[in-house]
Amino acid sequence: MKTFFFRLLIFGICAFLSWWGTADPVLTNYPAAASPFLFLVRIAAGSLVLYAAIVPLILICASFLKKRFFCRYCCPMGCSFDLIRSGSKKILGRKTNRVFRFFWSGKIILLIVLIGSIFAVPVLTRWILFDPLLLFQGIFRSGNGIIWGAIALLIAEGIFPRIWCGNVCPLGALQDILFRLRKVLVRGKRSDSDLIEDLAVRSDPQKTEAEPRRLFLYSAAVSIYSVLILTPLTTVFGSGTKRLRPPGAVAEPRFSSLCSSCGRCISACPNGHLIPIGFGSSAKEEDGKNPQSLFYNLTPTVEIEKSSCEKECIACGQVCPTGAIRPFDLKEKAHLQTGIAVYNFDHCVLYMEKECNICIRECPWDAISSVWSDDLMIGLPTVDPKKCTGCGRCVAECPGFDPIYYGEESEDGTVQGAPPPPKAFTIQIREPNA
Amino acid sequence: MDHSLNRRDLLKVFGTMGISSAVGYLALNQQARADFGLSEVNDAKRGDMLTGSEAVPFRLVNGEVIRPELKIPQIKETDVLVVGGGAAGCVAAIAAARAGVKTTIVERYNHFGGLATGGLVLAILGHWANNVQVVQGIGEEMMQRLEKMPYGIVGRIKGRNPTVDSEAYKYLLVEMLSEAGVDIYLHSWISDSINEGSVVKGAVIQSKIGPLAIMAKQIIDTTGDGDVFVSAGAAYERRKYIIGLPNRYMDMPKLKKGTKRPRNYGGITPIEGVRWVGMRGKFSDGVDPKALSDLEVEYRKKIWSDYLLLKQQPGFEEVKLIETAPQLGVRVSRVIKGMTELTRDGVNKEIKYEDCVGIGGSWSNNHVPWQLSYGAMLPQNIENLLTAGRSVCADTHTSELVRVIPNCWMSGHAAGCAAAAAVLQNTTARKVDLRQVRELLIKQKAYLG
Repeated sequence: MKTFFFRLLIFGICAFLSWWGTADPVLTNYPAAASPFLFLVRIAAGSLVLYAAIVPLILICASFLKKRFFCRYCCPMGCSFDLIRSGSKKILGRKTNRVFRFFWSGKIILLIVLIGSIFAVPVLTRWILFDPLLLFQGIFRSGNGIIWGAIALLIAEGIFPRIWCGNVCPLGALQDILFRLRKVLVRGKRSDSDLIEDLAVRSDPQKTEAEPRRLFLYSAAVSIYSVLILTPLTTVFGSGTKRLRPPGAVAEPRFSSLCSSCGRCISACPNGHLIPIGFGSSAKEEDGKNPQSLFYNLTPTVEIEKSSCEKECIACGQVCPTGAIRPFDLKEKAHLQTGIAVYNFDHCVLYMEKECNICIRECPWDAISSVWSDDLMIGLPTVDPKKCTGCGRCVAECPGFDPIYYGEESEDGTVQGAPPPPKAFTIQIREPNA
Repeated sequence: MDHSLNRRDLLKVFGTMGISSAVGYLALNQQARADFGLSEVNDAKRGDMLTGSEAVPFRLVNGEVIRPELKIPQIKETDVLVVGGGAAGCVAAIAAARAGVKTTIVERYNHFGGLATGGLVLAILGHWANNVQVVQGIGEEMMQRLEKMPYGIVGRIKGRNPTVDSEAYKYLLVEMLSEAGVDIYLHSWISDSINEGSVVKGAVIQSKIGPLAIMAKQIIDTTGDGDVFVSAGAAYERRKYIIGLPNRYMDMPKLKKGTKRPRNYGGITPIEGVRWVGMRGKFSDGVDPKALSDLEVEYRKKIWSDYLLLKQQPGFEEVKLIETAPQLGVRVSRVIKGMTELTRDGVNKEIKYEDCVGIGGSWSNNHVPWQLSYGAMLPQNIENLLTAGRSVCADTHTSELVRVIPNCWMSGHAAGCAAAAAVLQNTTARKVDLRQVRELLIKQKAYLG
């Protein structure tokens, strides 16, 4: 019973920290900041702060001391799985001995994640999502589509025990390797079992002895393979597609490689203007379709229809742990022109000569002014590209207009069967100046 | 005896007949006397005496045109003088009269309502803010009364902008002003302020019978162009903005679903088949007669050619152009420099004024309510003068909210009650106790939050 409450407590604390949506520089970076992989990405990105080193180093040291210390006592994913398993044990009466275990798969994934973190290779770095801390935080902070993945994992855990911890989790594989290293360093008693193998009865002494060499060969093969083969596949998997990113974001593909999907910028944004790209999210590609690429899941993009980037706000740059969004101040913000507003007269109420100056009035950068058009015999709202930052305020505030007649307006002004009126502005992507 | 008439007798008879007829004719027929210059036309019924100023020309002296210095007849003395009978002015006059003071309204055209009637800006845009009706009081009463008139108003729905009929509204204003007991002067173009130092004492009408002075204790300038406050020497800002000319069509067909609207399809009016078409127009100077003339000519040509093009569209063959606006749509021209300036920042941050005398809305309804500060209607350096309507002190962005018709009703209402309160308290517009102003406003059903 005590272990149950302990696991529940760990789960609860991690869930709360993940969900808590403030821009507090220390507390809301957890549990992701405990990840040594995120730590490596920070080193690679040059956005290291000293306190960021503390928890990952403690984790690594603890892994030397006790087998899978982190997995037993700290990991929120592990605790959730344990809770599921104790539940399924009670319900289904399963024996605990059955364990799935492919010895090398977790370590390959570990290698990919390590290479991606150290060298910031696009696509490979995105494998950082396999880190349970980042994944856990991503579920609670960015939400939507990934929840289904989490539920699938939990169901899988119920059917195939320890499938995650033993076979996929790079952090678990890291702990195994560290503990073996300790064995090598200390030359102590040979103990070739880790937490998983305590429960399993599959280890083959011969295989175990040959392990280190085989592991090395496998790792070398996989690393060469991934760098050579997977990297060109980035174009196939859509890294070439441009997306609107937060202000201060570095250029693609570096942005996707640095972004650790921790979700802090999404929760720090006061207007809800940043949303995660993911299955079922409202983020849209340039062609209007929802982006489905797994590799860009949970990276931030911009919600354009209803919200805008607050002019006097620098939050996203302050909270990004890896420097994918580099910090900026208010003076710089006017020059962080990640997008530009594009005007379409056909979707503007001025088409019907109605009174409206909402875009001109609402633009926080005074980038829109009325310029006379001899052809249309009317003053058109014109965007000054030197001032427009793509904040999206004009889009959010525009009442929109459809020149096509769909029928009589009902009492509340809507027309039955008519699509919502398109806005007079859209935001097109510009290369960031940084 | 010889009875034949001789020449002398004949001459005597005809002569007597002729002279006596002439004398009788002249004695009895006033018109004939006038024709012969024997009598003066008697028009001194109202006591407004001419001092002969209508017959005094300007003089050309050494190549300069010099205005003669004359005594101007004072034809009226009143408590509150409202100059400009547009949307703001009519509400101000009705409010002041209902508050119990003598009120006079002066208007240059032959109708009241300003741009809401003569300007053919038939949509009532701006009495809603986030689904709350923030402009009530006299403006709301006008809309309710229009509902009871045939083809008076249409589209009175929560959060939406109704449309009025200009003819119905013109009549309603005459009815409401007369009811309230306001003195009416139409066809009277106020040209100048009458000052004693920095205190305004009245205003001068240019008329066909010469300049005429109306004296008043408090004056409200709702000309929209600040004719009084500019002449009085108040600090003001001159702006150029877009000027348009709306028009009306009749026998407009209903559109078919899925077709693209013609650009001059316009909006509905209370009369079926009659639609009004707005015009954003060009940037120009709203007070320069040459600039305005050029626009009138250009716009008349544009409207006519758009009309001919419209008739060529399928379904639009029977459309008829029935009216172009008799008042050119000047949206903003001269804005007073008041004690307070209403700003975009202030509106967005929902600033609360201590001297708030009204709450305004926006044509898009999806907007926060904004407060009207009394100081925005008060000139910086002139006494006993207020302004209301589009010339209230506001920055260019906020003028877009201030100038729309319902917000003119709101500021006009506040100005009328304030001027009346100043008269009742026997003080200046600057020193008036705003508590009584708010009491009057609430009594007249205004919305103050």
